[in-house]
Amino acid sequence: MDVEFNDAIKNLPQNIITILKTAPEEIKKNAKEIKFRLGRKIAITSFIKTHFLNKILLKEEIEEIFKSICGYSIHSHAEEIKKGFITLKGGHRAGICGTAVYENNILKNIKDISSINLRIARQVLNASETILENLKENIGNLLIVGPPASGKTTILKDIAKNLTNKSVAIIDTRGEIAASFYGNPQNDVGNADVFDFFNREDGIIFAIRTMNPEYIICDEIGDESDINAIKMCVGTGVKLIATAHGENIKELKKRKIIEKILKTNAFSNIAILEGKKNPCKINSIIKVGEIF
Amino acid sequence: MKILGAILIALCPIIIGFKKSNNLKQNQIKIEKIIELINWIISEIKFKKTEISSMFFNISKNKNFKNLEFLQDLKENLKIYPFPKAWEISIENWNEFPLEEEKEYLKSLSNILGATDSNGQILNLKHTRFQFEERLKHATNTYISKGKICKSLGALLGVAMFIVFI
Repeated sequence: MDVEFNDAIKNLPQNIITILKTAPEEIKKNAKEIKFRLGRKIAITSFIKTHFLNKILLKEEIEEIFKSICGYSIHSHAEEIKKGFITLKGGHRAGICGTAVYENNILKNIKDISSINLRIARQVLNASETILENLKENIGNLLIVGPPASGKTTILKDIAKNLTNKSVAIIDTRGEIAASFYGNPQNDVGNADVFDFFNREDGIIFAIRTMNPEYIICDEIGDESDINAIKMCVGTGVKLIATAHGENIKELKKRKIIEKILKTNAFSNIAILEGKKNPCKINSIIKVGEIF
Repeated sequence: MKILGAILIALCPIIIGFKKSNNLKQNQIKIEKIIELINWIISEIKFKKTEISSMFFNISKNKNFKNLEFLQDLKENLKIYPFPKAWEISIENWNEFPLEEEKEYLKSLSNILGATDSNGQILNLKHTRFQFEERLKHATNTYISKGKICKSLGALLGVAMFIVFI
């Protein structure tokens, strides 16, 4: 039995665990996601193929899975539910899909859960090796760019892990980097201080004021509101390591906000990732001055 | 020997009377503790958003709630069952609390705790607390009226039996 698979499913109701255990060993070993959809068969997506289990889920079963994932404590996960996912012990994440409840145009809740996607956290060893080898002491002021599922967050985690001897603060806006479970990071992020579910601006300001970091790590920059916080980093000499969405430099240059962010001089290097087909692989490392 | 026998026989109704009265007092104390427990749960949910299982693991260690014997059972059941089932089993097996209606109120918390957002749970918990406050009034009145009668009758019967046997 695959350890990570086993660890991820232990948060589910017992009858579902029993069904999942009947999946072929090869599928369990390579499983990335388990999808529970109302009125449909349980699907295990692996690196090889999608395997369907002979179990059609009823409404009550989906509700039970949801409650079980929440540790029968929905109130404890209210903020996460609003964001569409729940972090589980072990760093696994359950994405939820259902009917949105809005109040004054603000998403307040998700009701009538119809699908749950359990993403199995698997450790990728030495994901930041190439970057660390290339940049050595200049690892700070780095922007990692890649499309979704290219391994940006995985590299960030690995960088945090490798900066054990430095003072590092992680601004974990979506709980993806450290995957904290009741304040306890489930991913190995070295000795980093984790600002869990802070928005980037608040997190960066809080980190600078309270933890005196040498490095600040954050994910998915690209909002207008990020600029002030990034300027604060530059002003206080804190080195920023961040990620941004983008297929390549050409696409990145088209984004005005990124241009503004890069003009703050917060970043000196940009690492471009290869993409979904080669997760965590670096395509090139470019100096910011060469493109802007 | 005869006197000793008479004393022993006389002690029986006295003990029974006092025990009956004490049981009524215990019911009253247990309901008070249940209200206290509900208040504790409300504040844990409202201010700490604690997960239900870990909340009850902590509560079961609290000596203030030692009268609520089911909490120890719950701690063990949580290791085996999901919360709603563990809660129901623990309440059902709580033999030290004989009031069935109150037990049903308490059992219904399995559908409330952890099942909704904080506000929904707090609203329902406040309703359950109100029900227990009403039951507390009833239990207090029962103890005042019946508890004293049990003690007096037990003592009276004991004395009467002592006189008869002597």
